[in-house]
Amino acid sequence: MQLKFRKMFLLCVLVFLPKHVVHADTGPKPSMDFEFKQELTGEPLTIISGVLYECDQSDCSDATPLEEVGPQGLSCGPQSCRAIGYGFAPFHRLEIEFSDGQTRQSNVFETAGFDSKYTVTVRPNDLLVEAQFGLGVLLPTGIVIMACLCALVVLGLVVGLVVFLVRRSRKN
Amino acid sequence: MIVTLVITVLVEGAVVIGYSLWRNKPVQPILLTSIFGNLITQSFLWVVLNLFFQNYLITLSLSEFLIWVVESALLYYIPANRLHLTDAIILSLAMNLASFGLGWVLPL
Repeated sequence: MQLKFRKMFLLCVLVFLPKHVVHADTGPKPSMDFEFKQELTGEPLTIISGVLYECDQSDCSDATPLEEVGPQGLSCGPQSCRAIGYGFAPFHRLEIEFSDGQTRQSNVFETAGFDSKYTVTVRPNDLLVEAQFGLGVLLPTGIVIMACLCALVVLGLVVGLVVFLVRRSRKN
Repeated sequence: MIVTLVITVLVEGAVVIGYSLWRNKPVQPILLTSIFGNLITQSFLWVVLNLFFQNYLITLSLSEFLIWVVESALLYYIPANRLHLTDAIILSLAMNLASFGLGWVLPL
């Protein structure tokens, strides 16, 4: 029996020895997904690099680039970017360098949620970032229902703990 | 959320199996308790992080503390686990430190 469990344990250990960087997460971190669409004529542009500025002021006058710490940072592909952070500031501005050699800045936008999704429209001289309409809008209802369920479970556990402790103290 | 849950269950499962073998405790009930506990606590974590996403670090810290307490209680109160309160607290701490620590450094 013990040998079987040892084998299971070894199997688990092997599963956790990744050959490459594991793109997964056990402690969820806030993220932002940026999907780009172009309003330009001519050859489609591709993204060369990008910077996400974090701001506490609504006019982004205090902008500082999102620091690259561990998994935190902004990473971009040819047509999209994704940011992960140990928490985000309330306001942001995106700055992207494109294959036409031009660097475009976006409007100031707010954090839309825990996992935010944005559409970035590439215009001749700048970028327009808009939060995507999707499940996120309907999510609050789901979150409230889940929150109530979780609260019930936690409440049940706390009540159970109190009842148990009271009974045990009476026995003693 | 599903990916997070699966990986958390696997990491904490590995800790449970290691601990149970080391301390000669019943693996199956403790493993089942850990899986059931994670279903509750990960849903809770997902909900509170979505509700309070603007205060991520504070929310995460408080939630992780509550998760540790709840999972310790679950491990302790299920008689088949044959765990003393201290064992349950230590095991829950080890499980959560392992999954939290790994989650902290892994890129998503």
